[in-house]
Amino acid sequence: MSDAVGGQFGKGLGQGRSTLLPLDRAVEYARENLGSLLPTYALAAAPMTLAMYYAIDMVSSQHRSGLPLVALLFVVATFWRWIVLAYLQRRVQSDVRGTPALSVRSRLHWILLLRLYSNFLLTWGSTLIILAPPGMLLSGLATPMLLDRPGAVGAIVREVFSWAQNASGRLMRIVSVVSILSVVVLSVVVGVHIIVLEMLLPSLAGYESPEQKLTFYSIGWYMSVGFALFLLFDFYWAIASVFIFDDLQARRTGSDLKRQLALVAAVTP
Amino acid sequence: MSIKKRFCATHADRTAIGVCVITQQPICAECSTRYEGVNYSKEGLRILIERRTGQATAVAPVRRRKAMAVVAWLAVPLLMALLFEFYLMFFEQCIDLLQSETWL
Repeated sequence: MSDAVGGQFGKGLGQGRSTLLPLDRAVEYARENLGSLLPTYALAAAPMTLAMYYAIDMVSSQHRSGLPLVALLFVVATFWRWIVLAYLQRRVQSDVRGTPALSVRSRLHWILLLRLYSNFLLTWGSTLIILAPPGMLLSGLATPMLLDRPGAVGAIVREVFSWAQNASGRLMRIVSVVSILSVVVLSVVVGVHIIVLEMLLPSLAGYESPEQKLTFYSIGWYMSVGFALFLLFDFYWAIASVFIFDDLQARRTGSDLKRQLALVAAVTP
Repeated sequence: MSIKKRFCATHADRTAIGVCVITQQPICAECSTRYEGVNYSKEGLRILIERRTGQATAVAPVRRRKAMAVVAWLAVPLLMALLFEFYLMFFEQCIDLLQSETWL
């Protein structure tokens, strides 16, 4: 499959030169490979979902003494998610390149380290706003950059950072588009939620009860919906990051051209 | 830098179309290579390649690299504690929100 998909998804990276091309290609890839990607992502998200279930229970019952355990479970589940996501991104990267990426196990500790730093930028750093986009990019690019080729990790990270610095305007546009899309999706979900509860159910179905409002306006409900949207975004970003990395690399080193030349050489007798 | 003569530095009889960003020499259409949206002369392009290659192969001293790696790993417990603290604070905020009168 890798060769076929690599041929298909490896083409045209340098042809379009559109800033948002990697995002489009990620959607297309996810759509075509959803059946095989989803089980891996479900494995990545399962512990966090269980932790969220426990957290909703604790928050709804206002049980503050149970929160440290919830937070601890979330930390463990976060690390698990990063590990399984690394395997998922490796698979996507292998498909995009048409050749297998490095094994996750050899670079796992470095991937987790970069993820930890990116998470710090995303969470605490986002209070300064300006640190959130680099954190978001680093969280997605950590795995593809480290599994791309063997060599000193520091040199690879520095090289990719210099690519990103040169393409900072383009990357910021990508991050902005993804962030705006997330806000739009969130607004649509909240809007539909309110329309269904306040207008459709009472007027069309004649269904209105205090229990219904108690459930659908509860903090547990909002936390569940927010978490579901987070999972959706996380799944997409994990895939899109691989395509963003491939695009960055292609623009700086012409790797897409080399790949196409290799394909032509392989086909030509 | 303005092009005073407006003639190529290599071909004196040809009109210059721009200035190399590296060597600052006026260049004609034949001598100009457009790369990453910028004009380079042949000499300028050679210097650029040397710089880029130098950047790619430049390796920090081993001791400095090791020190940076050690510092990066030493920060791990602190970052994990901050991650824990972030989740704890987030859920406490959720309970605070629930207890506030503004919540529906």
